[in-house]
Amino acid sequence: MPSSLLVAGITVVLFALLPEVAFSKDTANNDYLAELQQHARKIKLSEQRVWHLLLKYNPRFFGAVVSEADGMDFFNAPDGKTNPESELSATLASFFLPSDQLKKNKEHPQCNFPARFKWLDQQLKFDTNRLRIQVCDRLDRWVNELDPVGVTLVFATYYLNNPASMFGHTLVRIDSRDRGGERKLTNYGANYAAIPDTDNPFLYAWRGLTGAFEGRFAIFPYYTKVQEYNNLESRDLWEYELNFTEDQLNTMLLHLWELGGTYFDYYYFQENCSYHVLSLFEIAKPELRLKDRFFFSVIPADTVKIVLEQDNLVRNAVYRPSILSQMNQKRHAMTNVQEQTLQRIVKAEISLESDEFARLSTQSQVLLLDTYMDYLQHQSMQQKNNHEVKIPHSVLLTRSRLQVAEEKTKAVTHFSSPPDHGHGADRLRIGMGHNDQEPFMEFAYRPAYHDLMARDEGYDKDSEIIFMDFKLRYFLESRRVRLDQARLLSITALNPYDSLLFKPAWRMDLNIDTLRDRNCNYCNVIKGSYGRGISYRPAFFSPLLLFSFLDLRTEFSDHLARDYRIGGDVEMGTYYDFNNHLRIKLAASYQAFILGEHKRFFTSHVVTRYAFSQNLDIRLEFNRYDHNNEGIFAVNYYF
Amino acid sequence: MIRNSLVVFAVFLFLLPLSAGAAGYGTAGCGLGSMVIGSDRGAKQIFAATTNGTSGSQTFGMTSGTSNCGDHGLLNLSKEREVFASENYTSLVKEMAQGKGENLNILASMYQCPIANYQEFGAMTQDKFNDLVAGAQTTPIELLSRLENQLNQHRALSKSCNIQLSVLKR
Repeated sequence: MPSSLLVAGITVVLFALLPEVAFSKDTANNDYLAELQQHARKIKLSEQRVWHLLLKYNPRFFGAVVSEADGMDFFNAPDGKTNPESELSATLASFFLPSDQLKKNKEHPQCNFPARFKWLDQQLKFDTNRLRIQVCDRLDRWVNELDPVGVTLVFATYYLNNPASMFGHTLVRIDSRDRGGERKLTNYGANYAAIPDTDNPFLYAWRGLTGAFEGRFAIFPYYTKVQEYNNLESRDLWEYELNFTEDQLNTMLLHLWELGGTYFDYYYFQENCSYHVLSLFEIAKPELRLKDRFFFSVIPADTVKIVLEQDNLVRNAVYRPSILSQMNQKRHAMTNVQEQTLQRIVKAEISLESDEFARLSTQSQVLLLDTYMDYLQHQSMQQKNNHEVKIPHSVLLTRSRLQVAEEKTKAVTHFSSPPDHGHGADRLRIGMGHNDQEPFMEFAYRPAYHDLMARDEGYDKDSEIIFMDFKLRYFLESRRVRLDQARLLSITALNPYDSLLFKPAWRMDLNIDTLRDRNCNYCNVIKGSYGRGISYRPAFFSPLLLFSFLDLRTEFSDHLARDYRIGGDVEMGTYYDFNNHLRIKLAASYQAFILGEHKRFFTSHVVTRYAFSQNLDIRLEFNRYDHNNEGIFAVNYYF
Repeated sequence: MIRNSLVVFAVFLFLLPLSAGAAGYGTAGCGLGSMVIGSDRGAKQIFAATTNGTSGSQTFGMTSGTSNCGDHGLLNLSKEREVFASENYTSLVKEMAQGKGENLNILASMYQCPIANYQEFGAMTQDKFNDLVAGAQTTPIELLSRLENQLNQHRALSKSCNIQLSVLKR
């Protein structure tokens, strides 16, 4: 379309849109608006990165763009969602709206879109004699109250019990000038989250994955989120204080104000919390290119990594342990006798009024009571009423009578490691092996996330999530390529046994596998299993872990006698860390299928992993299924 | 293929032992009455950006009719102590029994106590614990009013701290 036609088209649209402005008596205003619009077109303002960031435009095919925002109030032009230029013209026009023509209870566009106003003013240098600057009372009070001097990226570690939080979560904290130091908890936090409209977990997952939920930004006192994540869900928080200038922070805040009025379709893997948090940082400092690297999925820990990779962006990192970690830190410092006493207090075998307790040293009593109170707080977080004291008054009173001299600050034991220390979530694997018949090569890729044989810094060390792990094998003698395995989703939570807080281990697995307990020319089978078990680690940081599981299994394949078999298995095994690099796993199971095809057999596995670095390891595996054996040497690369 | 596997993924999420976590967890400040109720399966409660119809670009967590909130979507400063004490009640009471802690220091700062007096503030709450928290029934608001009484009676803290709401700036 010739540009003159386009201009005419836009002018027509504007006339139709804003008759008040267009036919205003004040023709000088119109002249100035036309002048600004023309100038903006001339310098191609609507093609600039900042404009695209402000309006959340994303490239589509053939140079087209579409905005991620789905609430139409976010745009001034009817085609603003897909047309940056007409949106820019319409935005300029909206700034000229006389305040007496505002609809009742509506803010002036200058106050609704303050970040756009700020940027356009910087670019076009508005003449305040010809464009009336509006007073934005609510916005001004909001900005003045928040008065940011910093912003903090907060990472909440993994919460396996809720699929929506399996990969962690990020939010930002707005650090106000007068809420620094000791008062950091009183800052406001900004969070982007889906607003679920269903209780049904099936619909919940489905809508979360397909973008059917509305995602919105919200702001709240940061301490409420600390209570929610740290204490209710027992997730450690990692806080990364970032370096931005006050002007950059002001832009971020003004943009946040604009976002508060709209919503986005929430996509669990792509347009999620972390994605939108990154876009806040890009608005503040458009030179940052944080989102560009993500295309398949935006995993919260990866966004922390990319922020940490930027020069001079992170000022400081702070670990905020959950109530559970605080309790375990204290238990970690206990002697065996103290730990036993704690267990007896919890089981009410020792009363706090008893002589036995009174005979202990004050220091012991303090340690025991502080730990016990953490335990009670943790246990009671799940209960109904939040505004009640959850710790029995007698316990509190006993503790209040004990005074200890200010102890030296001890080194804090970290019960989770910083997310940026973790290996990349994507994994590429190349291997070679031999089965009873012939040698083969192996190629595998998975986009997410962490398996128990990988190095566990930055991850929950007792759990595993494998998503979409596809493995092909090329058999050298029969010259065939076969799908060896496709692990669609596999989750394991070992939850090592703790006599204070018992949580059973559980695991589930859904995959397409090779039927390995017979020779069927590498035929495939669809498998599902779910199991519960128990695992044991002798001490918090012991290198040894023992586990056993009882699983239910179903398998479908046209190579099975009745096309299916249903049964179960019992598995026992162990993991052992020789050091940071070397880990070994031994496991054996007995599988019995009693419906469909009947079959009973043993399997056994020996896996050794040696990690060269965070992102590179080699593994040696030996697997036996019934009478079939295979050995594999593989290299894994994480990115 | 991707679509199919997402279906399968969703089906399996259905089978997960979803946690019963968030039931009854309260909210604070400007979310009061406006939050999306978390299900008993652990769905998170959020401070919804509810529209209250007073402006075009709605800001955050604004609900008409909650006295804790200003019309700009942030807490009213006069309610700051109350909301803080309610939301962190268990942590706060625990720290009072211990005579120190992060939440306790924040409370001291909300009474304008200088940093040098935080320790004394903590020691006082431990010393007077039984007066401050008389029993399991004490509410956060009662706790604050008793605390203000104790502050007034305290030799040093009555001078260095200030319980008046009017001193909170802005």
